[in-house]
Amino acid sequence: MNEFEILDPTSEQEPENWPLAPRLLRHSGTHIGLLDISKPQGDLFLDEIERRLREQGLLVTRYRKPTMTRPAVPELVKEIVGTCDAAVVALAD
Amino acid sequence: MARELLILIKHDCETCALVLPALDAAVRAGQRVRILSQSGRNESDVLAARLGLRPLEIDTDYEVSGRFDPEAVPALLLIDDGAELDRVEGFDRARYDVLAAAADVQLDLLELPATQPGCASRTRDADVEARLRARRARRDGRIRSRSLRVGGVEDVHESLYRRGWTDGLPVVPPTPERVVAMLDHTRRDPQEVVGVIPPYAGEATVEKVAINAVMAGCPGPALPIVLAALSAACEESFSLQGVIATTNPMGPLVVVSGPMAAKVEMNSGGNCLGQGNRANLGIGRALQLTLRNIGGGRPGRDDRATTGQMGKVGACFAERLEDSPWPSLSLERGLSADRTGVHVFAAEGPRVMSDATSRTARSLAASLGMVVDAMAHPKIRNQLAPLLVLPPSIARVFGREGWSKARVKREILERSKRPIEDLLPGARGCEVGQGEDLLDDDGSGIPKVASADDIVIVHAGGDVGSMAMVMAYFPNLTRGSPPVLRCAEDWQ
Repeated sequence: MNEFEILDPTSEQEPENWPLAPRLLRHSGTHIGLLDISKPQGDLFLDEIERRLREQGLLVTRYRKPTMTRPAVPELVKEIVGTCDAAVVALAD
Repeated sequence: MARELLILIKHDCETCALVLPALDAAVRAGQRVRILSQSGRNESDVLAARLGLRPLEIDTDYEVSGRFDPEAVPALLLIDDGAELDRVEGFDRARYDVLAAAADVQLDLLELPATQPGCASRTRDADVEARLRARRARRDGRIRSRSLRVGGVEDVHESLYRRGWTDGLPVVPPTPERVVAMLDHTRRDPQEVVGVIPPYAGEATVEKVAINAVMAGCPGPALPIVLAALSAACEESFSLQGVIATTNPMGPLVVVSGPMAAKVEMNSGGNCLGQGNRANLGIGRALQLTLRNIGGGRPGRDDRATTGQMGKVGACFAERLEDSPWPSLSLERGLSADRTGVHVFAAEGPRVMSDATSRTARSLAASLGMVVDAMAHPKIRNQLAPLLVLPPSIARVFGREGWSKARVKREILERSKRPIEDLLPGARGCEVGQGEDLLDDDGSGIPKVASADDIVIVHAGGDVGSMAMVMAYFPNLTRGSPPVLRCAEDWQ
């Protein structure tokens, strides 16, 4: 078959890879945010995670999105980023 | 003064063969004459050998022919510093003399007839014309997408699949020629952004949508419907991020109501939700390919659907308007009859409601109410609403008894009711349920959805058969992705 030209159907911005964030160094002041996305039983999962984190002496703050069907509003993301060193999102069902 | 004569010829044109010896003689004599062949190297060499000429210069990729774009060859052009002053298409001895004199070139034309018509320029052949249009579109900035070369030793379909650009099925390779032809079907600027698509915020320009529409096999005239559907899906309230990423099997469902559906040969009749109609399938698939390729949401990675459903390849059908007892979905939403509504729903797969027994509106409403009650989960209320596709054989019964669409909805809502004790957690041997505080009980039972307005009725399907289809969709803003309406004519 002859070579021919085609046009790229993508947005042409997909990066080659998604680097992981640097690993978190834990110490007594480390602050973890737990985000409940309002899925059923997400709270059970986060209760357990919170218990284990507190056992390790970490600070924990719980957050909640009003509905799982929408992305977190920028204000909430900003608040978590400003307050916490890391966040756990519960994608529970 | 840098005047010269330029002549464009092709190998299979006898008028070209007639004039070429005189022009070749002028070239040999060192006069300012340039001969360019629109034919390939081999064909041009054969012609030159036949006429005893020097090897002909090839107009590679129609670079010069495309610029002057004659209707016919031979085309003799009088050029001054690259600009055209005059031209003759075909042969006309007197006019050739005029152009030759203006260029101060001596041509020996005495043996030739006074006139002889030429042949169509290669630039007017469909394949070459398309290539030239694509090149102009690139030059004018109408097309800006990155260009890639495929084929050669690799299979085109395998290579597009491996890049992750398909839904698993083969696609039509989006050549610039095809994309430019697709763009003919909208007056919108190809660089206009139709929407920003999650999860990676890809900008879907009209050009990018056209590329994906080509790949989907979408008919060109249906492009405005694809653009309207994409614009609707990108409306913030539709929450496309959730639709794409969810574990739920929902996908965008496109329902087309209005005159453009018939014009682009959509199917609103038999098997309208099935296979066989290029417009229905092409529009739905074009939307899905656009969402995946531009937004970057890939199945198994960003699309976390537990099982998905077949409609995620593409889901689109048209409303059957001609013999519907009710106003169309578009009219219900306030569009005029000459406009084509394009609704996008976040919908799950269709299931059948089969009732060949009922002869009365009441009995049919009961059948529909029971199926609606069981959608997604019989104990869950106020989450999913029904989109009902009612075929003529069922709609006719409602129409005959004078039930308006609003009444049909009310009656179905009424018959979807369940006593509250059936719905509580633990009831009927099942842990699922909503607390009493979430259920608004007036003593008559709890309907599937709070409002009859959330029930959507679309008239579509074949002449024969008592099969209705029920699709669960997300009706409202707090729980999900309410349907969004756009008008296809706005995207023509």
